[in-house]
Amino acid sequence: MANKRSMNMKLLNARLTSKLSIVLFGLVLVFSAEAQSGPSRGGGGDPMGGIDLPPGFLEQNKDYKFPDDITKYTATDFLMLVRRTDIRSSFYNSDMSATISMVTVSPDRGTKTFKQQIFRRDKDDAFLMITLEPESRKGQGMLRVDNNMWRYDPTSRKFTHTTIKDTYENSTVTNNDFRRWQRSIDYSVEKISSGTLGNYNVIIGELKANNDEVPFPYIKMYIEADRKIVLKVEEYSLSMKLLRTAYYTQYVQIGDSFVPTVQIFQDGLIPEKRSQTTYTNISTKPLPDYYFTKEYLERVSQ
Amino acid sequence: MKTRTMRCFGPIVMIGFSLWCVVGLWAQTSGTSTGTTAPTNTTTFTSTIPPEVIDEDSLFGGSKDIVTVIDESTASAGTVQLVEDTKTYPVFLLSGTAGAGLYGNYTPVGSSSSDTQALYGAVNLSGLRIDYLPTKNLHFSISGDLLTVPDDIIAASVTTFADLRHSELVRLYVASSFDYDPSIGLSTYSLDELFVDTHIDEKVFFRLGKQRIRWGVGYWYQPSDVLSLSAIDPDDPTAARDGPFAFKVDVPMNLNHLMVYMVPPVSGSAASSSIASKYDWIVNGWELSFGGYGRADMLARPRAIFSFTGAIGTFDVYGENVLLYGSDRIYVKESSTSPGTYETYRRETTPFFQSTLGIKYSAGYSSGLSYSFHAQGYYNGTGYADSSIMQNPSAIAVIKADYPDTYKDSASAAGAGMWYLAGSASVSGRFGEGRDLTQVTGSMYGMSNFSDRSLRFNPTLKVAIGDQGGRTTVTLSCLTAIGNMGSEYAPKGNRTTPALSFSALNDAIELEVSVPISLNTDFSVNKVQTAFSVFWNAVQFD
Repeated sequence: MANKRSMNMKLLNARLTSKLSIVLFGLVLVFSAEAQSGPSRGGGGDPMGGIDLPPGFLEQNKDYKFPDDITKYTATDFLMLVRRTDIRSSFYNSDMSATISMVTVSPDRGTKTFKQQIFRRDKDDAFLMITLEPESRKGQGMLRVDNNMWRYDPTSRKFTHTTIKDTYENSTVTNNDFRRWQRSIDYSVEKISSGTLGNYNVIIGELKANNDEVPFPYIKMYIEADRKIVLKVEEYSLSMKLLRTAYYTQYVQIGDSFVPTVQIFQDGLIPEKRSQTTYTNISTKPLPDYYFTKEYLERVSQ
Repeated sequence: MKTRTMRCFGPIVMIGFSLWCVVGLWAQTSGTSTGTTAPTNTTTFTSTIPPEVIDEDSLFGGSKDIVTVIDESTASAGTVQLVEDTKTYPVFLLSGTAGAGLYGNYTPVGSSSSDTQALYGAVNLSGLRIDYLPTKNLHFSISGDLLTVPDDIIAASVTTFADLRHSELVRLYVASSFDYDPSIGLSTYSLDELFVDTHIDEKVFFRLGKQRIRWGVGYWYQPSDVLSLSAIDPDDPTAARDGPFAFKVDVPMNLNHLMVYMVPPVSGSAASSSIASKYDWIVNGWELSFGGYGRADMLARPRAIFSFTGAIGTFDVYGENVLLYGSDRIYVKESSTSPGTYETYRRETTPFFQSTLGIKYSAGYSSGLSYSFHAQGYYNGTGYADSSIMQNPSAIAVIKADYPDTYKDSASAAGAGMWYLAGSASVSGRFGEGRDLTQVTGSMYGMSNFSDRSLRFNPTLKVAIGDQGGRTTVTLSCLTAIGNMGSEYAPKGNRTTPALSFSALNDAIELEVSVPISLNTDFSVNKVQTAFSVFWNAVQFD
């Protein structure tokens, strides 16, 4: 009798699980259909809820009239200049992808080389970075979309949250350096002056952070006046200790956007330690929407 | 997985070491090289290595303009190669360290005849790894660690993988590992992963085969990780865990996505198959996950899952909640009719609840000061309110006898408790500058099973001098377990292990000393052992 009841129970359970399987398969099909009728590929995909730019951020700057004489710049002019460099560092009308090599020279740790593939969709504040080299870290990656950010470890197949303030691979480079710039949002102007840097006339602005999300509370920017591109940034601690100096020594211009393709970083605390990031294989070809998903990060990793 | 007694290991090691040497020489004559391919547009640029001396006049004073204009249509049609960056295949890479030195152990208090008192010359191969990429889409890798003394292997492990891609999203992947445990003289071979990835029109993705699966957002406890086959290592919670053979269907919808796992029968019976599904929903910076699991023969009970992760103010918060219809556990209790004996029972029709909640906070300042803390509590409704019964060998023997095929998770103290708490904290400061830059970090993690009153914690103090401790790093730690013999976090009873590790000259010199001390129940010293090693890592492949 007990055996018969047990058999019946097992049969009932098997039927329940079978029905559950059918329901779940149905859900897969429904969601598959939804996915296939989703947004079109590439830069034309629906926004994924990107960062909210301040009202008029793009429009106000478009027709802003900058002084012809660099000695006449006011704090407002300089902040608009920084905003112009922010906007020009971005690709609001297209996607962007590139390969970045980063070489770090340390007096204690020697020379280390890393290579990354990055994908950007700035209008959604979407950013994906995948390690290509060294081979031992190939496939590790980071995905950021709006306020959601994940780091992926292919060994344990685990995604974890991280912060944008993280230092990248113990170098003088931070994760922030790979993103579009937004210094005009994060900082306010304290003091301005003018000078020269090599062959270029520059406007020099000292800025203070207006939030604690940025890694450096104070920065000093050197911006080339004619084409309005950043050449040098000094980054300071709260006690005004120089922590890092960044040099942007090569740019490419694609449309209205400027990409600093050679960036040299010198550590302020260990002056012999320096890094260089070099961009290559740049493209503004539209990227598929699925690139900015955890699934893609998992698939292209080891 | 298959285990067998370790035999004739010496020749294998010798052959393996010879292969390392041969391939190492080969690697030095091979490697990546650059080409001159320029798909659409090539611009000659400077070196990718930072200059030795940064001279601003040199950086910005050249005759060439620092801005290169690229036509929009060119950039949107393909890639623009700015520096020579063409990898040529095949590629051989060798990394890791090889060193020689001394290894020994000594038992000053409470030694027995089975305790060795020895000092050996030893060879240590650490993180040695060979990568071979015959083409862009094929990658073979083997890595291993080996500590050997003249007439014995102290420790050995090897992991391998092959990543064979037909295209970016279609591939065959296989990974396996080998470990040698000298304490029991066994070698273990394990097939870690073997799966095929494919997709339909880049909309629906499939992973078919044995694979690691990591559900859940918890750190020390993950009740919603129903598919992993091994328990979380309390001292290394992020370590890879064994996964099942499964068919995974994944449908991403921007950041949201739906996953369905179908686990085919694990025994001869079709009823041993199971299915699990989860939907991740991203909303306002929160990731909410809804899932379910069922197995046809009900050996593992059906359950509904809800987990979340996000931030409240500056605190990261996560949680997992699982509602089960019945418990997977085979319970044991002392017989009411025959005291001193034990009997098993199941609870298959009662609803159970498991819930965990975690909170994290970290802050860092440009002054170099940083601190963090992390706490996670766990209520396991399927556990014993008093899980000390799992310390009784007779009780465990009854479970194994009554359910010889299915006792696996029920005959262990791991996860048998009802109330848990774990946490970690750290504070770090930076001092000095230049090559004297010093980073001092104090940290501790700990975990407790209140149901069997066992506790494990590990305070650590680390002093790193130079860039990332490249000149010198000193670490002091003291892993301590308190509890009865057989308890979850103190399986060997009360025990503390002070340890010191020292490295210098970019890890060329490494010294480690540990002193495991076994304590009696009244915390008097029962036995003191020491293990020590010092190595000169003369060969560093990087």
